[in-house]
Amino acid sequence: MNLLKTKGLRSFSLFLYSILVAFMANANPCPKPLGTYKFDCDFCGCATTGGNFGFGTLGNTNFIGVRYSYQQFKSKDGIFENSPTSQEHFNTYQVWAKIPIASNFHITATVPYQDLNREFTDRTEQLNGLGDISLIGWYTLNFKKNQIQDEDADASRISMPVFTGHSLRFGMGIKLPTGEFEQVLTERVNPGFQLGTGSTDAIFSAGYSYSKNMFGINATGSYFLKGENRNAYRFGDQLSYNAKVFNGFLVGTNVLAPFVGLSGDFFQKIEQYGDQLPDTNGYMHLGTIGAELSLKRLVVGADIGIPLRQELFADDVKIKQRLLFYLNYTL
Amino acid sequence: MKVLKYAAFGMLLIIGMSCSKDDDKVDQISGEGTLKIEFDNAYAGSDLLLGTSYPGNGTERLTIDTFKYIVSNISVTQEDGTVFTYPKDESLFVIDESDNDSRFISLPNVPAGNYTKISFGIGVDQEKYLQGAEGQGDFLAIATDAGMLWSWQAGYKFIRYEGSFSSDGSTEETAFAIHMGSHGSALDNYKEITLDLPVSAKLRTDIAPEIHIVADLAGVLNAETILYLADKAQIHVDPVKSPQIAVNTSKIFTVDHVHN
Repeated sequence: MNLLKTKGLRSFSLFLYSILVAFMANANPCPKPLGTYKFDCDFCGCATTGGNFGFGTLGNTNFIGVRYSYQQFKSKDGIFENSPTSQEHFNTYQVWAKIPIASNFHITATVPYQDLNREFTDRTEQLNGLGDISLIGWYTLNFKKNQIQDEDADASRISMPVFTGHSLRFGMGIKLPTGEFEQVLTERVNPGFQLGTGSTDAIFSAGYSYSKNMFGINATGSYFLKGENRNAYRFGDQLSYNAKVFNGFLVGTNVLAPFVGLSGDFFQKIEQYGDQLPDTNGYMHLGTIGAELSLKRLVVGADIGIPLRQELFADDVKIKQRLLFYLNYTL
Repeated sequence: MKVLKYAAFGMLLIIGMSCSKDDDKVDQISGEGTLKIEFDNAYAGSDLLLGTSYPGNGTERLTIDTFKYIVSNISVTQEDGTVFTYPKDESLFVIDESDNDSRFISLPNVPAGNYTKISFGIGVDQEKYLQGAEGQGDFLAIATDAGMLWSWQAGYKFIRYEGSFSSDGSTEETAFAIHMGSHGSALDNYKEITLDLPVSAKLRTDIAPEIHIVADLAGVLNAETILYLADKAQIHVDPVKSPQIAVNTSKIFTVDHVHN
């Protein structure tokens, strides 16, 4: 009975863990939209490109699922204090999966479809299509407890490793330029928001997790090394972080796990023709709150991100909110 | 475990390859292209709106009806110091806030290069003026139509800044007009301005960079010298205030950004 309970709890926490990790993916919206034509307007729909948006879960369950994200930005459409603003709505639909390769190694993949629109005072611009596909390989290190040799122990008993609940993981991956990047030649008015960055980027990640019973912590940091695209345009490297604390509760036979967290990004300056474009660096920090419900093999989750502090493109661009919904099928 | 190693190795390889820069594209800069310049007029950081009331100096408030100026003698300087001066006779423009097209200047046949500075004059220099009326080409008619000429003898108005103002909280509006120019050949108010570009304008046969210049009107009456409209609301051929306006006006221009 006791054994059963422990086992149940453990698989449950593993389950929660994987779910939460899924949330972490949320930590990486892409380079901020370049809201004004000031910067050649290549405001990358990137905020939504799959590659930069998330990796899938790093936890112990493997899944395939669909995820929807919505991000809202407000940008200045011009260079003056009294320039009009535009509202950007970035909708991203992703198919994402975490597939095991070996006991400590797995691959995550995201294939996004972008639906972006930008509302000006007098017109609306729309763009949709395949975004940037990303692929990451992950290595997980689970820490085991030091086994104290018990003199009285039955020598014939098979010793099972006991995990401490702490784990580290390291990821390395690539983001492919599958989304279209258009160089906007008539820059003056066209904001040119993009389906993808047009570049091949490298992704390096490291994460820490702790879980015990129904409680858990997850933290991940990722560095995006951005490549230059065909238009001699290179989005600034990006450092993203995400941390969450959760606790699960039994609701009948299902589990509900609310959580709170922090996530954010730091962006370097964008380069064009080797020049760093002024005022294209920045940061944002979001507070997140959400919950996840697991119903047998189905996992449903929702997450709201609210900006706490930000300075994007010299304050010409502001993130207003971020929402995330997903439905995963545990493999 | 083997699978893991191969997979990790493969991943490294892909990343390694994707990060290598193609340094083989040595820019062969040659030929000619087009340089574009946009003049954007502002008042104290806000996009200029004609007919809107703005705070002026002290208690003054002003509403602007007209803002026009003459831009001439455009030249651009490359990283290595090479200067290209656009042909003088084709380098005369009237920028008019009420005519949107006039704010965009397009200069064809500029040598390809990486330009880091732009220079231009406000007004018409003495050399050009002294070519006489017939030496002005089409520009004489353009300036006349735009009301940028007093008379041939008196010369060009370099700026026309007009509207109405009130002061000391009064609602009574008084007209003001600032017409600054050289006074024939007696007083030279022509000024040349050189601005650094925040990133170089990379002009190529197939890339027409655009230099976006902002002229902040608040500086016309408040830069090196502060001038109150209440002291003098009509400044035309004023031997003291016109030179002050000329100096102030030479300081209102900034390059906001460059599109490549």
